[in-house]
Amino acid sequence: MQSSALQILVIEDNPGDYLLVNEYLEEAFPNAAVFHGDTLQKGIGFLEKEKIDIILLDLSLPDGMGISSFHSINSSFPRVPVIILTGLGDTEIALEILKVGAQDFIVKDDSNAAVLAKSINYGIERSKILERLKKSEEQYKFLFNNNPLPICAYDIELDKILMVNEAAIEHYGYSEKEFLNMTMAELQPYHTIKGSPSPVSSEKKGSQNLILDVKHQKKNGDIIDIEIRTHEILMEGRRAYLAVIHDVTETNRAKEQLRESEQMFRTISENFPNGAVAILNKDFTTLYTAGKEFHIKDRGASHFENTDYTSHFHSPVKEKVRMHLQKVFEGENAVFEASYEDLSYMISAVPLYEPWGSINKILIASQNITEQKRNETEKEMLIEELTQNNSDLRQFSYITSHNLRAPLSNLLGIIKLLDTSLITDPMTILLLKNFEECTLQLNETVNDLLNVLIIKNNVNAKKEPLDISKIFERVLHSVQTAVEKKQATISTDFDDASEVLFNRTYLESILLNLVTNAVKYSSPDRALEIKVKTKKTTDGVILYFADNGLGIDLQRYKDRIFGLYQRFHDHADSKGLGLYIVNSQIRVMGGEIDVESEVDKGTTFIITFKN
Amino acid sequence: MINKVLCIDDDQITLVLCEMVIKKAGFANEVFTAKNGKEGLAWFSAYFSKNNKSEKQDPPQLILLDLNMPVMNGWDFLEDYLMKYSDRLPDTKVVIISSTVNPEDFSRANRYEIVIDFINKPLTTEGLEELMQHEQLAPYF
Repeated sequence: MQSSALQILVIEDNPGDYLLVNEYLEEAFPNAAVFHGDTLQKGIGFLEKEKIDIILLDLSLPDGMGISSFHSINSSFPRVPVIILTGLGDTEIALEILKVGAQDFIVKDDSNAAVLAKSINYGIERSKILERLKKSEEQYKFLFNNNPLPICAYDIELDKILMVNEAAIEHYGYSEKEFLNMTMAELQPYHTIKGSPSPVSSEKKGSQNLILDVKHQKKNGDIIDIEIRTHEILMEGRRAYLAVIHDVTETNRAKEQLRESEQMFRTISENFPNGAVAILNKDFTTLYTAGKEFHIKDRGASHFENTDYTSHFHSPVKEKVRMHLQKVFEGENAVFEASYEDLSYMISAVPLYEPWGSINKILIASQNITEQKRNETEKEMLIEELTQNNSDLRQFSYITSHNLRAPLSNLLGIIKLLDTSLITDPMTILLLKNFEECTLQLNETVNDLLNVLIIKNNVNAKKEPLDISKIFERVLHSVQTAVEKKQATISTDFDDASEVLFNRTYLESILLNLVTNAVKYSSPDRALEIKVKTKKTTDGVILYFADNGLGIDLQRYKDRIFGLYQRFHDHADSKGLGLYIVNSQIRVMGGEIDVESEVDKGTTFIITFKN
Repeated sequence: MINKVLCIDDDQITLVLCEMVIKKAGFANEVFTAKNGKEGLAWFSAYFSKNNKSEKQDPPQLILLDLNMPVMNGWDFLEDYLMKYSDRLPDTKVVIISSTVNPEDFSRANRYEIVIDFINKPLTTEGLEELMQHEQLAPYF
């Protein structure tokens, strides 16, 4: 097939020689087109116009001699194979031309059609092979130079870089020239340190492919993690490595981050205090579990992993746990208590949603709450006991009070009805008088005590808005005589707050107690002054009640001033109940009382009414 | 003046004093007494059986009722009385006279319409004089 399309150019100035050659050609390639140029110029003219497959070139032409003729053709048409036609005496030159690229030479006087045909066929084939080789080399170069991965070739013995591609130049920042003056070892940071292992020296000689993890330093100083894959090649007869360089800095960083976060996760789960965490799949198999304490003593995570989580509880707790966890797989969060032998656990479970929304796993956190449970139970028992005791005591106090008051009221009734006018014996009259006094005293004491008792138990005493000014007025009126006897000046200022939310009886009792105290413990050296004022606050009213009386030594009595049966002055009327009752009445209404006092200067009570 | 008063109290001295004070204050003409709730109920039972048989008699206009009593206390008496007799005696009221300090007793007393007052012992002439001013008793005086 090929012979039909064959186009042969013969450049030959000797017509006799041409005739001969043409004869041979017609014989060997009957379908070939033969072009004849008798000068080099004419020959080149054909080459430019026609698609010539092979050139037969005579060495002695009028416009070209010997090797220069070949060059002038080959430089312009390197792909067209050339066969030299030569006379007997020129074989030496012909041999030389073979070295620089001619396919063959034929001695004209010593040839025939068969020799010519063979030479032409070989020449064409050889040139095709050469062409392919060239192409593949070019492709190879293209792959090398345009590879997105940095690639270099280096000499194994000298550790010299022989070739680098564009990507390597771009990635490292070194120019090609700089690269070619470097060794592979020099690319590593700290390469100046003696004995630092070079990737070359650490290789096993003779192995074809190697993967190395090393650090390289760019020209700008950045240190990068790289993975080098090498492949042994021959370059110009020397053993060399072709090294493909992967920059794995980012990958390594990501790996490190992953490792750290995994470590963190492990730290958290393994140190989960007082309990454990677990991940279960749908059939309650424990896929992962960790923690400081598992609910079965002396058992570690491995005891639970890959087993049914619920199997580590005894019935009926087991069924309860199952029921709760089943609900978590249905999308609910669950918090419940489960016990194992004498331990109690609080188990919290949440569903773990897959990206597509279904629940295949759940997360469990269990905490040992045995101690808390025990405390709670103890507390509950204590509260119950205290409540019962309190209720018993209250009942007891009611009964006692009643039983005390019943005969006392009879005594009072008798005294009321007793008519001493009929008695003449003065001794009996005196005794009866004392009897009456004792009874009244006893009655008063009992009543005071009962007041205390009733206030303490009457948390629900009715609150109503009260006009302080009016109530104070009424209280003053009830002790008018005593106040007048002391010639007291009383000033009030209720402008800022005139109303408080309080129990009427208690407020009357409080103010009465404070006024009578002020009167009782006034100084003999000066006229009594009482100043009462109110102040509005964000959540209530503050009442200041100040006198200029004897005062109380607060350093000594501060803690006891509102206590029961605390008396700070030697006064006949003093029973040590007044301030106790005041304090109780204020506290039971949610208020507060405080006191400021200086001996022989006066006392100020500060009462806070909460709204 | 009230015609008849029934005092129910377990304390004999209290009953004596009550009667004396009532007489002294001119509060009532007649004072009947019962020693506990059960006796109080028996008194009414006897009153109605007598009334059915023979001569008509006035019922007491007021019951002075103690709370703390053996056998049957004041509250139990009141419940039974309300169930059995109060309908037939619409004009008879109750005043509680007690030494109790239990706040529950005070609030419970408030819940009965028939209980018009609560007096803390002892019953005195002053106490009775005040009671006479009570709007439900005032018409008798």
